[in-house]
Amino acid sequence: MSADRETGHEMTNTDIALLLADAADGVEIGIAPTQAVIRGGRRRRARRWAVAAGAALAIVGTTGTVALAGLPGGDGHRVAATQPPTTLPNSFQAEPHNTTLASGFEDGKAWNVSVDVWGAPRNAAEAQAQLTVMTEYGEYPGEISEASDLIGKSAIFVSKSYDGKASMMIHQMLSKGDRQRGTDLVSGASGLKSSSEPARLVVGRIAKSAQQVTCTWKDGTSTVLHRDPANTIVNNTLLQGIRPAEGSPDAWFVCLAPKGTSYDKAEVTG
Amino acid sequence: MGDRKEARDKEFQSFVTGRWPRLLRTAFLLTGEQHAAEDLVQSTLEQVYVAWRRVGSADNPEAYVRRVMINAHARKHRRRLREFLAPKDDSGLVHEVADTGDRIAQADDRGVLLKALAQLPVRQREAVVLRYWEDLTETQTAEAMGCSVGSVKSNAAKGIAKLRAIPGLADMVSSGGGRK
Repeated sequence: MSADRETGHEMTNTDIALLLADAADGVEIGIAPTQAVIRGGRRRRARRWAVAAGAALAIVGTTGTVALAGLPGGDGHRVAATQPPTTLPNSFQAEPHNTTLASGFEDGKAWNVSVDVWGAPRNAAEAQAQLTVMTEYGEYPGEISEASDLIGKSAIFVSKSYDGKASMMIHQMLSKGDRQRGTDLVSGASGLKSSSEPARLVVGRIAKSAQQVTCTWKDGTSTVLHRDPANTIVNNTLLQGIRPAEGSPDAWFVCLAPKGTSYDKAEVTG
Repeated sequence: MGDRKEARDKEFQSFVTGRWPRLLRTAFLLTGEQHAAEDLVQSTLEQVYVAWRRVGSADNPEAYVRRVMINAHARKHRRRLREFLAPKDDSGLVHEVADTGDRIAQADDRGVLLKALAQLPVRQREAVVLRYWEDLTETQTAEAMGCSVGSVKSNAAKGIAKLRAIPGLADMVSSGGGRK
């Protein structure tokens, strides 16, 4: 123990242990949220199942059982499908609108960015149906504790894919009337291949009236984006630009910094 | 089938209720903030619930829980997600009413230690907390951290040495491990 000493103080590890115990007492111990934990655990189990099953299993609107043996996360027993069929008004779409916002190639690998926009359920039945589908998609809004929390809110999930590997970039819940106006801009940046790389890939949400966005990179250069409602494709690449996304009250943009630099800022400039 | 599931849920609930205080204190030392600690423990227990069928019947479910919590904590750092390593001001730290001089002094001591812990690299912080708060052996700590015993020794020793080098903390320890 003496070898550990680096100062002249007469300290022992027991003293450190006492300090830790004292500091640990500083936390407020409330009632254990057992029900919330169990709900969260069930969601994780369902999500894990859905992700593991992937496209091979259609779980929405089915009854009966599905074997989990051999699937990662499955424990070999049979479980009931998540929900019985739900009768809904024809006007409600429980599935998301999906729009590709940009695509391209880097180092010979394809990448793309897309957004899923989930409409706002109007009642408990619609919310439950949507939550079931969200679980299937692996797009579970972390901030909700039960299906009814979805009522009146739409949800957006932006994901990127590089070389076939997808990951979530942005998730937001939007209330009615929550839209971008004027030069409002909400954006997020991430590495193209992984989150540990410099943030070069920028995705943003802007007003539908915005005509131009300028992405400025840390090396001082910038990329100017214009509206591209025609979804121009050149060499199998969806042009980086400003475009609408189905179901979204806002327009979207994606810009990718050149290699060697990274995101500094993005602004609506026109 | 339904009865077995219900029994497992009850067993899990009992486990959560019993372990919640201890886990929360450990998480508080790891994260340095009340809400981050609650999130860490809740997220850990949710993962444990998923595997409870196996974990609940294991000899030492606590070891599994610790491993999950340390993994979750380390993962959070790797991804550089938002974490309140150190409170930005005392209001996030001390929730009790400081109505006496002793209480204020005690709260200050906690703040000093939490800030000192926050300055440690994550693996050193984990090793210090598991060894000297959870009172785990080096082998148990290695199991929880998913590393070798040598790595635990090294991280714990470096962590302790850094804590001792922090003047405010050194003063506290030399005055008898806090001002109780």
